[in-house]
Amino acid sequence: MNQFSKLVVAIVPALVMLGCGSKGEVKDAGADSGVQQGRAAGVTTGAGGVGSGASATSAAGGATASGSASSGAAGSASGGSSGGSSGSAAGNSAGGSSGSSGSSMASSGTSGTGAAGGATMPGMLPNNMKVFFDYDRSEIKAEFRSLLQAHVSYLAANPTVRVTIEGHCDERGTREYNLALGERRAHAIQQFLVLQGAGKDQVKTVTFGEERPDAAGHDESAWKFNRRAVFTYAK
Amino acid sequence: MNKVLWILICLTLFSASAQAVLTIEITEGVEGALPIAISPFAWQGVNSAPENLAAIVDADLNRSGRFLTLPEKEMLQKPTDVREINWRSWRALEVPYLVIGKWGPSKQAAGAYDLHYALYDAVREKYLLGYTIPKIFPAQLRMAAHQISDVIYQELTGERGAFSTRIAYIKTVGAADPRPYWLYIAESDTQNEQVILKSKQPILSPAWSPDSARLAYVKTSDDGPAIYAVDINLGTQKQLSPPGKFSAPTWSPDGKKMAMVGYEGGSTDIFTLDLVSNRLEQITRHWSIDTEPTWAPDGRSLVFNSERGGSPQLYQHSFETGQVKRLTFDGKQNLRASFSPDGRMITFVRLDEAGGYQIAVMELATGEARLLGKPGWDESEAESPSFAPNSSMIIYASNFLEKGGRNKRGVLAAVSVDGRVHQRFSAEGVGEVREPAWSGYLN
Repeated sequence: MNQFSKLVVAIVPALVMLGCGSKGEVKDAGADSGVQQGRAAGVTTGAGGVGSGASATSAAGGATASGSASSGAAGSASGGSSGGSSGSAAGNSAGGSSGSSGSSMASSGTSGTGAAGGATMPGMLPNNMKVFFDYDRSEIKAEFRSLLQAHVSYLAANPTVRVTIEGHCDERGTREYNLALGERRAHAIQQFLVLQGAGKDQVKTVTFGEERPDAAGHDESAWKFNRRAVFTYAK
Repeated sequence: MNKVLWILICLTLFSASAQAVLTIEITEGVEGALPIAISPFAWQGVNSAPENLAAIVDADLNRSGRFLTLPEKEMLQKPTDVREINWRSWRALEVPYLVIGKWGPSKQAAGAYDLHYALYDAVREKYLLGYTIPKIFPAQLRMAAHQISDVIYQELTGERGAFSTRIAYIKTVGAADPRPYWLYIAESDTQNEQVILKSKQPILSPAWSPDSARLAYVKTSDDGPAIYAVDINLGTQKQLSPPGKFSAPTWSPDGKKMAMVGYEGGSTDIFTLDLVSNRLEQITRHWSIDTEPTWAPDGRSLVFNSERGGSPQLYQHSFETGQVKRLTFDGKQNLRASFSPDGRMITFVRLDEAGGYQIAVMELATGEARLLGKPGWDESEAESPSFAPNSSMIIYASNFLEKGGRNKRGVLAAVSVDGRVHQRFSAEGVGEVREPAWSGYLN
């Protein structure tokens, strides 16, 4: 155990460096999900551009601007709760998170059909815990955005709730490559949730690669169910 | 050779631990293979011999593709002593080399055996070599036979034999979780299997330490993947990486470091971990997936797989210059590279345009890669190639589907580095064998 904690200490600087070094990654993953919204709104700097990790947060700020215009009561309700969240979430920009949770309410309310099953009431736990991906991809498909927005609303309204996003793959490709791909899938979801207003410390990722398939079988009929991210809420 | 030569030899080997059928299918070209006969060894004890040692030597040599062994039923005589050899009968069969042997209870150690064997040139009627192996305990009998194979192989080919070595692999049974996972080791002919560890969580990516005493592996618990190592003699396990975010271990040639993949913030990069100081150092830094490092035997570079160019391809990182060089350009994907112990080659899997994964080898000096060809049996996918310590053969997992595609089976298979000799080891029973890794030399 002793030795182990030493290892962790040794790792921290490396991971910090990793974080800094991966700006390209943030941008790239963002392109999968929230950033386009932010660009469309053309508004970024105000709330978001605080301190480090700026690129991610400011994108969230952008999304806020586009969303909150259409949201009324929902936005204010969550504004209160995510104010609480920002208090506990050290390092996460308060403005960014409260604003963008408003936006997520709005969009989950408006596009509450399709894969989301998103007739979920704001702040309620959505029924659907799975998001599926195309082969060898980690981009979030449009049909799952409203479901993700519903999870954002729930997380924003319940700032003490913690969720782990599991990334999974189908069996094609090597096992190690799939562990990496699973991590990317989980991260893409995490990125989306945080950009849209979930607290950064509320969302963890874990990869299982191809090791825990949902569906048995060795063709597309099984594979399409195995390329997935799964929300696991802490009990 | 204008025709594909099919030789199908089924040998039933009775080992102390398990009875398994070893099927060797040699396709294309025993051209240049040296005819040799292994006369059954004389047993000088009571009852019957506890092991058919000559059959083990026979199978070893045959499997290498460098030898064509004479089946016992075609032998005109079965000498066990030099005075019994009828040289002309071997020349008549065009078999220039002959091995004889005898063994029995040891004169020096109770419960052990003494064995003597010799190799003869039947054309020149000449003794080439002979040894006595004293005090072989029952558990070492098969390894003693593999050592005989090593000596004969080296004498007649000029290259070191790799028969008295081990392979490690993962086995699992069933399709639904939770299912059991085992880390096995076996002798190079896949016989004499032993379970090194059992796990209810998936285990993967076994990697031998340079001294072949430990195996690193990845276990994916609920926290995600982490790297462990198990001592194969003591059975002791140790966690090497923090939980959740590390996989794909490969040892440095001096055994002091390990390269691995770390996951953080959606980025997967290669790190090295100093196993003495526990210091972690980041090696690659790229937003795309970098994974599956393999450490060059000279210690100076890592080959890894990255999708930085748009699809998974192989790259080489030089520790001296920090430069990264792309190695593969053909094929849709090239993954899971593994160095040859002589450092001259890498083997890897290539996804071709038709969508099949095949074993490929690249000569690093020329950058030329070639596929080793499809075997004669039904193979839906080849995975996880690993070189023998003498760089002459590659072991891999050969997958196929049964029951109309519902059941996936994986079995161990091997191919000579020139692609001429394909062989499959079919253990009885069910389950899926994955990710074989060949050990280094054991002595």
